[in-house]
Amino acid sequence: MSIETLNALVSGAIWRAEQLDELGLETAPSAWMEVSKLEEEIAKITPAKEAEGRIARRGAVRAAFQANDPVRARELVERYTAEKGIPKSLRNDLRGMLKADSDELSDEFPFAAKHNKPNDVRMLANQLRECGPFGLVA
Amino acid sequence: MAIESSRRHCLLTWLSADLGTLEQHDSKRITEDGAEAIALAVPHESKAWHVVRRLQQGEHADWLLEHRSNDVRKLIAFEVGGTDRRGIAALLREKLAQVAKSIDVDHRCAGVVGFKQPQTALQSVEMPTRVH
Repeated sequence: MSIETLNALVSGAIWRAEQLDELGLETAPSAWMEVSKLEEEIAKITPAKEAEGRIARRGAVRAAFQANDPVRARELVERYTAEKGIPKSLRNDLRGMLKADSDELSDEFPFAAKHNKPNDVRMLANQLRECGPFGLVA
Repeated sequence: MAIESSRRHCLLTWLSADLGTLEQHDSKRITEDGAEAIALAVPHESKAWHVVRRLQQGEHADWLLEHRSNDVRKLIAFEVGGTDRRGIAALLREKLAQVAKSIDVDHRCAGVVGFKQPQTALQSVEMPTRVH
């Protein structure tokens, strides 16, 4: 797919995801996942030394968080930060996103964050939100 | 219309719509979409900038635009604002402050549209380029 087509698709996908988010609809995370995958496709054909490549890499990670998929976000950060010649500023931006997510979780669940790994805390937090406190016991 | 420091008048025309269907629309959405359409048309007309893509919220701008001249391509972060209630001066300041945080572009710019008194403004931010 050409970069022009992907840019058009990601523009539409971001617009849709933002609208669904604003309305608080349950389908918002899946719309953000579409954004993340399109950004990932743009990142595949645009090197990190180019501005659009950096925008796409940040976008893929950011949208993965918006899609409530921190595992994917973390994997993308690992992949992108391992690329040869990645600008230091981009590496810092991507790691900053992971840290912001961890900090947010630690603020919300300080005890769990102290005793568990970030991915486990995220999993417990999702379980708590979906099933309530008794869901954690089940 | 205020483009950077110069002011000019222009005629804006559009296809008429059936006002009977107005209640089907969200007034906030109409203002935002209208502002976006006008704000994107202004830099295209006045500076020959083209849309590349929409940006996510964390990029501090709504759109990524480009300008091509003598085989040199420059990227512009473009933040859009619209209001149907107040003047545009304060909104322009807000949008300029926001787009000033944008990185990885050659140029940062804000475009705002006011519907109460029909007016639009386009202004650039001059910022040092980030070293990678």
